[in-house]
Amino acid sequence: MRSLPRWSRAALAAFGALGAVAFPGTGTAAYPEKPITFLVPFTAGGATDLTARAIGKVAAKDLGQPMVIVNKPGAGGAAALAELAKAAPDGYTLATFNAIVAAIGPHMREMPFDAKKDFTPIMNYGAYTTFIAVRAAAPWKSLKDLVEYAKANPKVLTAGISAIGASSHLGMARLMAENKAEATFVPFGGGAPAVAALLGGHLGTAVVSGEILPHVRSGEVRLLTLLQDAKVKEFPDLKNIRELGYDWDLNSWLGIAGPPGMNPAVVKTLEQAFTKAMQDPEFKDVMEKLAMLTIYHDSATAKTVLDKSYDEFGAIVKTLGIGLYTKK
Amino acid sequence: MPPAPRTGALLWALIWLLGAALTYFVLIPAGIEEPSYATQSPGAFPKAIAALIGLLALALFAVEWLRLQPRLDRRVGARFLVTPAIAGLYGLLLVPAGFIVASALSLAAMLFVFGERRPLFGAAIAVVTAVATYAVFVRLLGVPLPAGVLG
Amino acid sequence: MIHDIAQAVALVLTWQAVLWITLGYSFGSLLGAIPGLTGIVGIALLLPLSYYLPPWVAIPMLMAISKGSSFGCNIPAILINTPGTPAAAATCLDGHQLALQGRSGKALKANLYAGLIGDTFSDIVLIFSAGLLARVALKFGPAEYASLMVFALTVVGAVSTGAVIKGVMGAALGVLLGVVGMDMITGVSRLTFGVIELGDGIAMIPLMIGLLALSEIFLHAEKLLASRDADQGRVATVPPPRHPDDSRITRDEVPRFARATAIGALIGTVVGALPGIGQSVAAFVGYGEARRFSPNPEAFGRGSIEGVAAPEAAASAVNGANLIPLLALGIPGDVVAAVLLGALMIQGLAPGPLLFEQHRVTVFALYAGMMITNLIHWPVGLVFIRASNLVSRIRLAHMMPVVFILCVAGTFALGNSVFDVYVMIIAGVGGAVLRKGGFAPVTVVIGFILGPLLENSARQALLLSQGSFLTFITRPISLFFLVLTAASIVGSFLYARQRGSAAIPGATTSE
Repeated sequence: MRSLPRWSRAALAAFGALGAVAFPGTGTAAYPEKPITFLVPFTAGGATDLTARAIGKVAAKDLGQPMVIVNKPGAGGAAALAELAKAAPDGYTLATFNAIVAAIGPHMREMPFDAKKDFTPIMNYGAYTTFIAVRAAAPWKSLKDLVEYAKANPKVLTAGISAIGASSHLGMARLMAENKAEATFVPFGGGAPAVAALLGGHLGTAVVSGEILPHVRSGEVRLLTLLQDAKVKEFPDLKNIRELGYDWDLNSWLGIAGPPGMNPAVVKTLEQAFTKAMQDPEFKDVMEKLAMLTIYHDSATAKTVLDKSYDEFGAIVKTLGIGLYTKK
Repeated sequence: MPPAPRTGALLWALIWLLGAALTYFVLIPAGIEEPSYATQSPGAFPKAIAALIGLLALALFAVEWLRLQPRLDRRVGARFLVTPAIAGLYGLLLVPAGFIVASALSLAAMLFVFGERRPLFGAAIAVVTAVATYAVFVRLLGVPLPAGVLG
Repeated sequence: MIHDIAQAVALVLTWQAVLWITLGYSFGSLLGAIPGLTGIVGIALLLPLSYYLPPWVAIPMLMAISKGSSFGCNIPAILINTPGTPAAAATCLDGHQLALQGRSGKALKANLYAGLIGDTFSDIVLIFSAGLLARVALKFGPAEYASLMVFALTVVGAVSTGAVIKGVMGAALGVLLGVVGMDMITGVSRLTFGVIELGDGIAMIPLMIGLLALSEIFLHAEKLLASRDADQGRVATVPPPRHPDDSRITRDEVPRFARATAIGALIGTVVGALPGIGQSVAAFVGYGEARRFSPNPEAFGRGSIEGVAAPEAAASAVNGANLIPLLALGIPGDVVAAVLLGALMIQGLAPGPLLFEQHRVTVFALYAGMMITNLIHWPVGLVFIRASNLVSRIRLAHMMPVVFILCVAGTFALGNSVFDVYVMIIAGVGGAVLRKGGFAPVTVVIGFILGPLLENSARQALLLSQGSFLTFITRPISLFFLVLTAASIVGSFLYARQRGSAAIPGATTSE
């Protein structure tokens, strides 16, 4: 059941459906009665993977069945979600699910799934951070300074981002567009190399995640804002984008989802197990050390959040004219 | 093997030239969009590389043309296709039949190709290797392999 | 300071630490010996376990897996020419030639000792100058990376001895294959033709294993089918040594070995300190430079001990040097370092400028653990060499089919995807066809690795310079590498003319 090509998966799903008809009542009552496959659409050892392993481990204890973590990082996460979308909705195949792959990805390129229809969100447990950072020696003391500079000198400000269509790009681009300012975006394929380029003085600003924090602590880098509607305990003075007077923020949620059409009872069981796991000190510790935001959405809220952020990100991508809305 | 005439070598250069032209004139225009927002063309670098291959293929053609002595040239024959065919079938079987069954079958076939003609011995190696590999990957390393019909 | 060091050493010198590191190393070596699997699989497996170990055991243990796997990887590469990583592909250029001459023992030992020296050297550099080197590395912006990659591409000349045109064509093909997938700079999909699995590009390990390892198996099978000589199938994996000297590094060879190892270790350390380049580039550049500075470059590609030592020393040196940007700046240089970063964070050791101040004893203990890893490397490595001597007596006709199965299992397991298996098989056919035409598939691998690094860095540099190409020559470090590139190309032409050999490029094949 782990990694099947489409046709055989469809065949198996059909078999599964037959089984469900033949033996009504089995499955849900005893769920879970075998190990659960937990797809992680990223490489082992990354921040998302570590949090997934942490929450999966605790939830597995509660559910009484092991969770088999399967890293399937292909196609920027799309490969794993494509597999999830076509898996049997029996609650034995789950995946980590996030805004980048499910709410932004489908606007950037053709995906083999419909993010709004092909998944059952189970819950959300966290969110990624996105900071706008400049070197401490830079002349810009506030976000306003930076925006005004970019407005006065179109395209001169260089902004390091991880990729075109990443939340770092969309957030910064929205900020620029709203202020009629222009920056030159330089993608680095990840946050860490962008941080290195910022430290080396090759960039004006970097829009990055938690990997910048050690350099904020050492005083080499100044944070101008956080693009999520949240506060970072360690830096209480850091104003987030809403506190700076903007009426939007980046909703970069991270959660767990299953295939479409899951039995509500199974969803409930899983939702409860994962929610309980969030209280585990070990999980909390992992989230804090990886500088992830902890949020909580139940299954219904997670679905609303998915739909809402899908439309929001779609609107930004459309305004920018990138991805599927590219003008040739 | 008989010394092939240099036409073999010239043919190689022509195949490369054709490939480069195909990439430059067909594949890249069809496979790379040029977005209006981009300050840099995503197709420029691949086009330059395809052009480079084309020029080098011409150079190779010239060098082979000028060369006087004949050279050995090994050709692709039907025999060559045997193992890739086994590999392809292996890939097709891998998920539906499962790792153990698919591996045992293709390993037995490969052993036969490599000259192992004792049926029992070959079958034994095939089954033992397939089961052992599965056990090491799945049990010891925790890396999932398709279980297939045995799963 | 002395007190801190003593305290740190005392923390590490426990039997538990030694046991865990030995386990990690042996486990890594075993993993590495399976083509397709890399150290990363083992690290991911033992990562959850490492949370329960103190950091000075956990991190060296995880690193030992990675070090072990880059050693283990070379065993099948040298014995049967089936490398599982690009770094091993560099080592087996000459390593396998030695094995074919009955000198597999010599090749494996050169590989072990060069790796050991490379590792230790870069660890020492890390210990004494991490902070400083990390700062220097930050001076490398996109323009510098791009010029460095241009220089690295000159290695194509070194691996395609005498067939420069074909070598460059192979590399260019690799660069084109590297273009497939999302263009990092514009976010546009290139040459994927709607295939979802190609969204991130062609996966490197399946492509490489196909081109180098599988093609070897395919061609060998064809040869056996054609020969109809029953005895052909009964030969051992590698011929046995004819002389005791075939299984060791002789006294005469020590100076050459030492020079090549030193060159490799130095290059590996520099490359490792620069995040994002990695072991494969280090290994190939190490090979190319060792050949350039060798008194007998003709021996390269025909079984030169230097050709084994330099790439392995370089690849190993990257292990330790990768920790320079990781510990000092929190910037991981490659996949392994990215996992180590996660492990460090979970351990409560956020890498960065403050790490050395806040966790001085822990960092020293970590260094001590790394040194212990290097000490363990030696005896465990020798055990593996002995074991591989036994393995090498297995008939080639049994060995190759089994390696074939392992390639498929490893490739599948790496990405959980059958698509990767097909990529490997197609690349295998492609690699075999290329070899028939006298093209070395390893040049394709080099192009595939260097191409994207070059294109992305160059285009980043152009974004930063508002489109001006002058950035590559007005920045001193960048200019330095471009001048070096020009000098090395001119130099090799002059050398060839002086020797009067290889007057016609493309005249001989590199096979």
